[in-house]
Amino acid sequence: MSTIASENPPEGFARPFRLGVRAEVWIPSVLLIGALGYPLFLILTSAFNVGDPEQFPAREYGFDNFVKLAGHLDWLWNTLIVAGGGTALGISIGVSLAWIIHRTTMPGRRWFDLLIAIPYPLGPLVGALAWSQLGAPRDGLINRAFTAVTGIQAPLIDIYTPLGIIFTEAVFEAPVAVLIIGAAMQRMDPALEECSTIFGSGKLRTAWKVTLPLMMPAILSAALFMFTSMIGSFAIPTILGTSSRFYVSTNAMYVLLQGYPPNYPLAAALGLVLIVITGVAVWLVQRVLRGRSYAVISGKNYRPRQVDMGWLTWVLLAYATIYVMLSLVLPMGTLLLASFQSSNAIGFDFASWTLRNYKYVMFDFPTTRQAIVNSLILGVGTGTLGVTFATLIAIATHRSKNGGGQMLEQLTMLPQAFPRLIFAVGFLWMILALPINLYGTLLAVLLAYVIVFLPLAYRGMSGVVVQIDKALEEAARVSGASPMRVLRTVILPLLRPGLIATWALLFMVSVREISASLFLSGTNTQVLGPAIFSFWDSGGMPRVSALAVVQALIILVALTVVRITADRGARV
Amino acid sequence: MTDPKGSDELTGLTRRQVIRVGSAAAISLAAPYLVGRAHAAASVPGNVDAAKAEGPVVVWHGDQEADVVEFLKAFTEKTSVPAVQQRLLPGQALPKLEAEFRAGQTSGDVYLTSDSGIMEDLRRKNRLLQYIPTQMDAYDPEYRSADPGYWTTYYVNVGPMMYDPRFVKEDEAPKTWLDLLDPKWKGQIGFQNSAAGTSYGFWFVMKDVLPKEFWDKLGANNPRAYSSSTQISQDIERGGLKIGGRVSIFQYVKSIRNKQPVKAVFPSVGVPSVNQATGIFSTTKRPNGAKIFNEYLLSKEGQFKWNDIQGSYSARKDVQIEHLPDIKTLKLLLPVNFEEYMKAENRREFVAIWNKMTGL
Repeated sequence: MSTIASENPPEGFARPFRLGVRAEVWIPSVLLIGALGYPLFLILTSAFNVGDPEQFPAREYGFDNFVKLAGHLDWLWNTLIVAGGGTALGISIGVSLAWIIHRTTMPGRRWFDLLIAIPYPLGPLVGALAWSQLGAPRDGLINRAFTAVTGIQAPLIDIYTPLGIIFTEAVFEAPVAVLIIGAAMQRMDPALEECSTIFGSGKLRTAWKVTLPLMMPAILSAALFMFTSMIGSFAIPTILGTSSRFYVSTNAMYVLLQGYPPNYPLAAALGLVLIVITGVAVWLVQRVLRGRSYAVISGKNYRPRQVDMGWLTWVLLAYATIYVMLSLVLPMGTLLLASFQSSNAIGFDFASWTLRNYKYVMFDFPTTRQAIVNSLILGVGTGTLGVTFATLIAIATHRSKNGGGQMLEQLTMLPQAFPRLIFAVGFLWMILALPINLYGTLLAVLLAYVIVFLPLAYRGMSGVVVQIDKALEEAARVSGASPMRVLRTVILPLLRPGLIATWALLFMVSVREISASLFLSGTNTQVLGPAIFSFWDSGGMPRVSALAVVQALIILVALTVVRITADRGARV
Repeated sequence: MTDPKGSDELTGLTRRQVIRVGSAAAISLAAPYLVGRAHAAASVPGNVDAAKAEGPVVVWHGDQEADVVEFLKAFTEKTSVPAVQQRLLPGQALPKLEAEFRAGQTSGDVYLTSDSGIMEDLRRKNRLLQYIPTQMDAYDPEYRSADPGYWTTYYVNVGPMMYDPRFVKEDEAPKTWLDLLDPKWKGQIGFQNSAAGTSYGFWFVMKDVLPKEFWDKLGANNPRAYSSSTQISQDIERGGLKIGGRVSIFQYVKSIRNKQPVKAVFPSVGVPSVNQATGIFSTTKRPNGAKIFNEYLLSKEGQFKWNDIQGSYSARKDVQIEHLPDIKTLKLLLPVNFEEYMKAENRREFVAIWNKMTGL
C-alpha cells in the first residue's frame, strides 16, 4: 500500500509551486490579489489625496480628508446604529423562525420554509419601495387603515425614521439568517437536547439553554453576514433616509460622488473607514469562533427531534404568519396596487386603475427591456463563473495542507469587507486604467459581480466540499482514474445539490444587485437594479412599482425553476 | 553701412514693431474670412445615411428618463436616425467624461445638462464640437454660447416654489423667498440635493439677491434634500412635504396634467432659472447623428415636441406650451456671468453651504 501511495500523483490538480504552494492555490490567489488589490490601492491613495481630487493615483498626500471626516462622525455613527440594530433584530427574527421551521411541529412548515426565503432575493430595493408606500406617515397604507379604523389622525408608524430603516433592513435580511442557522439546526446532534429534557428542563428552557448556545457559531456567522451587508446597504437608507435628513455612510457617499465636482477623496476616506470597520468585525467573529468546538456537526446524518409546543404552536404559527405578511404579502401587494395607479397616491377607485404602467415598462421603454436581458445574462454568468471559482477555491483550500490554503480562503472572503458602492468606484477606476478595453462592457459588470459575490459563493460551496469524504476520491485515484475523471465522476455528482443551490443564490443576488451596478452599468449595459432606482428617482411611483413587480416575477420564476430542478436532482 | 539705430530714430519704428503691426493688420483683415469659414464648417449639417451607418446617437442627460425616451422616439421617427440615452447627473457624467478622455474611449455623443457653467467650461477645454443649427437665430444671446454652436439652451428651467392647497392653505403659503424662513415650515421644505445643477443655479443667482444670512437661517428650518424634483413633487402630492423650496417648472405642469391641484409661487423679486444646455462632445464617434439630433432638438418642431413632452419653457419665443404661465410675466434670474458661474471656488462654497443646510 505504501508503494502505491508514494507513486500516486500529488493530490489535487497540479504540481506544487516552488515555495510549496500548489498551483490551484497560487493562481486564484494572484488573481484575487490583482482584482482586489488595485481597486483598494486606488481607494487608499484617493483617501489620502490632498491635491487634485480627480487625480488617479494621487500625487499629494495628507490626512485632510480624515480630518474632514471627523466633522461627519454622524454618518459613521448612524451606519453603526443601522447595521447593529438591523443585525440584532434580523438575527432575533432569523433564530426564532429557523427554530420554528426546523425544530417544532408547527403546521405548514414546508410552506413557510419557502415563503420565508422569498424576501431575500426580492431584495432591499423592492422592500424599501414597498415600505415607503406602506409606512409613510401621511399616506402610507397602514396609517390610512389605522386612521380609518380608529379615527386617530396621528400616524401609527413612520418608516422614514432610523427605526423604520432598521426594521426594513432586518425584515429583508432575516431570510439569510434563517438559511444559515436552519442548516446548522438540521445537522445538529440532538443528544444534548435529549439530556436536558431527561434532566427535567422544559421545552423553551432547553431551546434557550441548549439549542441556542449550540447554534452560536452559525448565529455569529449569520450575524457577520448581515452586519457587513447592512454596513454597505444602499437602497434602504437612500430611499427611506435621505429625504428625512438621515444619512448613513452609503447615501452620504452617493451624494459626494454625484455632485459636481465630485468629492472623491472624502468618499474614499469614508469607504476606507467602512472597510476597516467590516474588517474588524470579520476578524472579531473569526476570533470568537476559533475557540469554539463544532462537535455538534459531525459526519453522521442526524434527524433532530421536532418539539411539539402544545398550545404555543398557534402562537408560533401567528408569529411566522406575521413575518410573511410584513416581508412578502404586504410589500408585494402594495407594489402591485401602486403599479395599477395613474398618479402617485394609491387609490381604490377600480375604474381608474390601469395596466398602462406595465405596457410602458415592458414594451414602450427600451431601457427596461435591455436591463431585463442584461440582468438575466449577468445572473447566469455570475452564477456559473461564481460557482466554478468558488468550487475550485473550496477544493483547493480544503485539500491544501499548508498556510497557502488559509491565505486563499482569507483572500476569497475579503470582498465581504468592501461595501459594494465603494468597491464599484475603485473597480471602475481600475478598468479605466487597464490597457484592455473593458470599460462600458457587460464583461466588466460581470467581473465585478463575480468578485463581490465570491464570499457568498465560497461560503455555500465550502460547506458542501468539506462534507465530501476524501476516501471516495482516493478510491477512484487508486483505481486509476485521472484527476479530471475524479472531478467529473466523483466530486461533481456529490457537489450537485450544493452547486445548484449556490448557483441559484448567485443568480438571484445578481438580478437584484444595485449599488455596484450604479457605477458600472452604462448606456448599453443597463441592468435592472439601477433601472428601477432611476425610475424611482425620476419616473414616479406607479411605473417604478410596475418594474419592481416585473423584477420580482423574474426572481420568483428563477426560484421556482431551481427548486424543481433541485428536487428532480435529489430524486435521481 | 546702415545704422539700424539711426533708421529707427528716423522712422520711430523697430522691425519687430512693424512685423507685429503688420501681423495684427493681416489677422484683422483675415478674421472675418477665417471666422466665416469656421462657421461655415460648423454649419455643415449631418448626413442621414452617414448617421445611420455610425449607429445610435448616445445622449447623456440629467432629465426625466421617460421624457427623453419619448423624445428620442419622436426624433428617430422624424429623422430615421437611431438614438439611445443614459441618465447621468453632472457629478457622474463629468468624471466619467474626464476618465473617458484620459482613456481615449468616449461613449457619449450629445450632452444635455442643467449646468451651463459646465458646458462653458467644456467649451473652453475644446471638448465641445461647434455645430450651428440652421435655426440658431431663433435663440437670444443669453441662451447660447458667446461663440454660437458650442452649447445652446434646449429649455429654460424655471424654479418656483410649489405646494398643494389640500395640505397648505393658500393664505398661509409662502409668497416670497424670505417666507421660507418662517419656523412653521421647519422640516417641511424640500430642495434637490447638492448634486443637482439646478440647485447650484438657484444658489448662484439668489446669493446676491437674498440677504447673506438667508442660507444659515434656512438651514435652521431643516430643509430636506431630494435627489430629483420628481420626488419633491411626488411628496407634495402625497402630503409628505408641504413646500417645494425650488421645483422645476415642468413638475408643476405634469401635476396639473395629472389633475393635481398644486400651486406654483413666483416671487416678484425674481425666479431662479437655469439654461438647460445641449452640446456635442468634440470626441463624438457619431458626428453626423449628433448634429442631426441637435438640429432637430433646437428646431421649432423639436422644441415644441420636447417642451410639450416635458412641460417646460422653450428658449424660443415662437414656441408656447399649454399650462405654463406667460414667461413675460415672470422676472427670470438666469446665470449670465459665466466667469463666476464656472469658478471652482463658487461651486465648492455652494456644496459646503447646501450640504450643511440639508443636513449632510
